[in-house]
Amino acid sequence: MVDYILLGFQTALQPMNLFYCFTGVLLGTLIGILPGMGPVATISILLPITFKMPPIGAIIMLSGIYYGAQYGGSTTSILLNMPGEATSVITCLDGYKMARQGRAGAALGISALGSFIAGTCALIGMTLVAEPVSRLAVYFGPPEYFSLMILAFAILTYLVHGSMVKALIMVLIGLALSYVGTDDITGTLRFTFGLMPLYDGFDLAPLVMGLFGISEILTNIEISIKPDVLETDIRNLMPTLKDWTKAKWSIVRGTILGFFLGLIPGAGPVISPFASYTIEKRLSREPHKFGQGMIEGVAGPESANNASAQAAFIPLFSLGIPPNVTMAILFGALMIHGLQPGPLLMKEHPDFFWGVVISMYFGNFMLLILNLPLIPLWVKVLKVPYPILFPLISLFCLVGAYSLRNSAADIMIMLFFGVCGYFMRKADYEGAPLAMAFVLGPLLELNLRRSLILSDGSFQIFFTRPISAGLMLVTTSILLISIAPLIWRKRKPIEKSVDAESA
Amino acid sequence: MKRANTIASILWVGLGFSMCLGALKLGLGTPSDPGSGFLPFGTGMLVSILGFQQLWVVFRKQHSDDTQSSIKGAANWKRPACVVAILAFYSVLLPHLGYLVATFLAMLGLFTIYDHRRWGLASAGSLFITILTYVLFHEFLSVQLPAGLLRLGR
Repeated sequence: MVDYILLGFQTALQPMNLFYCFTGVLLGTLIGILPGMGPVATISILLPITFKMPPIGAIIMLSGIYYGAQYGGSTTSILLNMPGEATSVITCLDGYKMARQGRAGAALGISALGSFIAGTCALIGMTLVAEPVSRLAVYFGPPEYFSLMILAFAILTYLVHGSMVKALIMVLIGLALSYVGTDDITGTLRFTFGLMPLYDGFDLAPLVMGLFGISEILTNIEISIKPDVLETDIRNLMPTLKDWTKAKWSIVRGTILGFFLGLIPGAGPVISPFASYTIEKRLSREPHKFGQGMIEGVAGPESANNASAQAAFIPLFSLGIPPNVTMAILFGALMIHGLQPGPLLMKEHPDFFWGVVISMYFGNFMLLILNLPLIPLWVKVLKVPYPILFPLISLFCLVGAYSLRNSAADIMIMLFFGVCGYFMRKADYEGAPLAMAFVLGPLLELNLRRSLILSDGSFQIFFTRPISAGLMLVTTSILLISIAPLIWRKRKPIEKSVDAESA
Repeated sequence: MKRANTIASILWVGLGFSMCLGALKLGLGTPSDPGSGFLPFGTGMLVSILGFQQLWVVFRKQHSDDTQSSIKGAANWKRPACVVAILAFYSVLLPHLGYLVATFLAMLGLFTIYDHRRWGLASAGSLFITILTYVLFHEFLSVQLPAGLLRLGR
């Protein structure tokens, strides 16, 4: 293992890889700070541009954007009361209150340092755990992979903000889109309507650029966004001893919780800050003060989302299963660069795997440097008006889509998904389950068909093999938990009516 | 919102049925040897069923709190419509006019969406962005951009 780590250092320390890492974390921090521009959209937009880059450099940069955004998201939460990222929503509660009390520096400082500690600890965990997990993958056959993907979809639909049925519809639409093109097993053309550009199916990049990039623009330009940055003196970024005493266990708990939640497919960094906040509030001696500027309410969730973001790479690299939508896009990026995520990745491409992992250590250091001394600069960035920003984002989308195949048809496909995404937002349909299902669709179908061939057409194969049965059991439990409140609510009026009749 | 949900539900039902029909044409195969239409058929069925469920939910709701607006937050739909139109025109004009001209026109359109009066400033900004991105994409990132009929930027 030491040899591999040294190989990782050798790869990550190459000047170009350091440059890609810096560019990634810088862009990540920037888009994390800018409300209405997330890592999913940015990675989607930049994905075609990385095609001409070496695979290691491309993945180092795209990964940097992902974990860098987790750092940057807290700045807007604290200074604007507007989360830069979905993972920083909960930071608004106590972070913004701290800023209003004149403690913006302490909130930003503990957020950056907590993120750094959590990110680094999660990376150490990743270094130690990734290899054993990939060895575990040997026990994974087609039924286990199919069950794991079904579990990922169950968790994803359970954790969405809105209706679970709507999320399930989105998963199915994502799967349906993945069927378009040539069937890998039989070679039959499916749902192509005789259109040549559809013979190879939809490309990932225009789909996600439209769904997340263009639809985001269309939604944001409806209203006039005027950033209302809190005019406060940002100083004393290093937390005091009293702050550390209060926050240290929150950081530890947030790190552990975030790490394990990051490993679960479908959960990801969005749920971990909420879970961390709830735990901190429950364990606090002053729970009534949460929401009024408690430093634990910033330290715990910020540590949790960073640990979770780092841990999410483990199932992607070791099992080949992306646990969230950003990882699903990275999964696509790896495939485009000719690398198959999964247990063989670290065996066949150790320089790639360990190079990317070690670059994340450097990335975390760079983020600490970017986040603490450069905060006044980020505050200025927040004041860039949206009417200037959105044409630039649009242009990056346009060039990104065009450069895929030097074809204007890809711009039209992106625009089509952009309009679809816009209306989906209007009717409360989320794009994340669709994108994840689109990426996992071919794998899901392949593993289902292989499983059925193995079992001679019996669906029992998913319930008779121990790992698969265990995963299916968890999936069933999640579905039952989500259906239970609906049945409970339906029963109540019946009980009431019985009571009324008896009265 | 209620109307949006009704339209979406009908769309899902229709889409689901169409998928089932398409899958039947492809051939379902047998469970021991699934055909190309096996999983699409199952997916189509589920989409239809869930579409019906959503339709049922919409019709069951007697008192909708936002019946006044058909689509949530449709405060200013003109701007998104303009952006879509500009981007669609861009995709059509790009191969003919080339990157420099098409991008300049698209940027000019996008910069003036919020404020129609500042044409001078928008023109200067568009020109600057067009040249800057051309250098970035074409020169540094080696992205092949169309030169168009005017052969500008070759």
